[in-house]
Amino acid sequence: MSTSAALLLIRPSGTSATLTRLQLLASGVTTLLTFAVIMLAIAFWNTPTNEVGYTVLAVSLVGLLIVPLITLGSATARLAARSRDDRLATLRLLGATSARVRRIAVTEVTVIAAMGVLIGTVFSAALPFVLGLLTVYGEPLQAAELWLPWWLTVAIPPALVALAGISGMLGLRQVMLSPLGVRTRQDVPRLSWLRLLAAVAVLGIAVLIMQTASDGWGAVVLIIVLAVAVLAVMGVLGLVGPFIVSRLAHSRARKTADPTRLIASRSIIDNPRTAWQEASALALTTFVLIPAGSMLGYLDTIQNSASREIMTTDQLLMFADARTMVIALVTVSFLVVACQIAITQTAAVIERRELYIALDRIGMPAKDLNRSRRLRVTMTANIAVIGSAIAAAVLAFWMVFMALATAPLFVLAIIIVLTVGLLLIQLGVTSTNPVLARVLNAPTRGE
Amino acid sequence: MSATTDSQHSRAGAQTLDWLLRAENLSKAFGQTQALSKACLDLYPGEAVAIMGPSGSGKSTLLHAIAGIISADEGKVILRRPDDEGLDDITTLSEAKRSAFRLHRFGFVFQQGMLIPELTAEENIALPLLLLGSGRTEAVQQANSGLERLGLAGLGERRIGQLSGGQAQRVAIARALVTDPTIIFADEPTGSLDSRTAEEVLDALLATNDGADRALVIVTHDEQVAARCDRTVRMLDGRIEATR
Repeated sequence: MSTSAALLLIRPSGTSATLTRLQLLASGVTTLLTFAVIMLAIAFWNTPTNEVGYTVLAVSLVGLLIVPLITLGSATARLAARSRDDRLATLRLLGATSARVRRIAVTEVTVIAAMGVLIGTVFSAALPFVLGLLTVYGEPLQAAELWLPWWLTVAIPPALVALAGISGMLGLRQVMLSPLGVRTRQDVPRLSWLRLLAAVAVLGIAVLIMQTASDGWGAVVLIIVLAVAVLAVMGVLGLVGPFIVSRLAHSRARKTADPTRLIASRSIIDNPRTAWQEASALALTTFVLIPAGSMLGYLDTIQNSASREIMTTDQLLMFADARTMVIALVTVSFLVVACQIAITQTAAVIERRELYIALDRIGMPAKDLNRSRRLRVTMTANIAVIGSAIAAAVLAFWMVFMALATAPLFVLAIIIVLTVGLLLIQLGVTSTNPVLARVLNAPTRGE
Repeated sequence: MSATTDSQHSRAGAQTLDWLLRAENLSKAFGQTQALSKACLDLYPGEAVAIMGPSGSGKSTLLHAIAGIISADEGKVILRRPDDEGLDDITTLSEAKRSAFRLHRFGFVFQQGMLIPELTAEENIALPLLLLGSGRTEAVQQANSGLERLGLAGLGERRIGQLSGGQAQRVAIARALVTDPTIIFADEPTGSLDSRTAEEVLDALLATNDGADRALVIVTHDEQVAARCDRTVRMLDGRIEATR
């Protein structure tokens, strides 16, 4: 089959055009936020002080925000590649090999991602002026300080495009392309007791590291150790999370008399990994916010007490900047999660339109259909937030305990922020209600 | 049952006392395509009606319009309330009220069953009852009774993907029956089945009318299916051309 014939078949139209627009938007947002994070990190790194905390802040900011940004970029590319199922099946039917169809799909996803990255890069030119509203090391950020070196500005866009291409390729590995259609390979997560014990052991070691970490280790060692501890615990959550989500959903599905909850629970049981992935960025944010917010609360108490004398000027400035970083971290994370939810839910409605039409036909009201979609996301998100909060509280037990004792308002603020995050997720799902309404009202529904 | 064109409608006047559903002058266009043109149809209790016609003739559109799945551009669909307590005009109802109407008064069986793949067979059947507010235990009990009636006892815990095509269609029939609907609508219910299984599914579907005051409407391409119904409505280019 000729390339021009293939291009004709993959030209976006109808629902795939909606997904293309979403992929463009997500790629643009990912690019913009990536530039913002790197600019802020460089501003922290370049502060005129020897305070090791600034180095930790700079590396943490990149480390913690790049993960959700990569998740957003890759999830979008994966979905975009997989949502072209009917066209991919047609290409197979017309004689294209599976490998060729994959190449065509990945190329399409990569080209769209490149366009989104280009748009995001253009808009990132305004970032130094916007970020200039923030204060670091007691001074407002200057636009001149925020411009990235030319090699970094040139390197970031191709890296993001490559990431989208690789993600699309990995996403397509999860589907079987046959001339009769596209099926997703599904594997139900299994968790042996051995793995569970290993997870508990990892958590224990991480607790030990966090309790014994000190300035004396030096910046590099401290960053590496903390990063490894955080990554290990996130790995544990990633392993245990889908299993717990699946078990709880199973238990609910067997008992509930609420049809919306029944469908949501069964849907989670069907694909707990995907459900967990949607909430994983929120889990990371919660996991970091609990100790970081507790530490800020404790430091705030010291700053406002007679013990203020024990803090150097650099430490006081860094404390203020750490607060800026936590706010930036939470804001970007929540934005990323809400974007990701909106994109995955749009794709889910389009991919599962036949199911929603079937439910509509038997008389399930649209508000119940939307409630069921919302429950599917929030049930997992609640578990992710609560699970991560427990893991973080265990890991940074003394810090959380001190904050509870000395700065309960900060703890309350953390709870409010997390509640806002969960509400934002609901908003992300609700924003896709019109997509479902369009699916239910499409003229083809009557054909 | 009678099915008439607009001009023929008055000739069916003698039967108007006991009709269950009356569709009057239904028209529906999708863009430039006139899918339905002034179609009239009466349904009577206990009857099985086949709607036939070539692809694109408007038979599914007619079924969707009288079932309140889509709203017609013109015309009325009137349904008699149980115990003759009045009439409801479905065409004047909002989308939400038409949903409620479908849930309370109609049952559906489609070509692929349109069952929910995530749910077990018994949950699929229990779903309309749960939507109506029944308790879990009661809904599941009724679902299992339905499975037993249709020869599927013991398969309640299976997911739809673990059932054969014929079994899945019988689950869809059990789901359609579970709310004791006034009318059951079936769109190509045997279209994807082999001849023997199709026969079994058709038997089960026609049995839903045994001793009941409900009507059964089947959209089909299959003359053998139509032959087993009480009456056949033939459509062409959105119009009802003939009835048998």
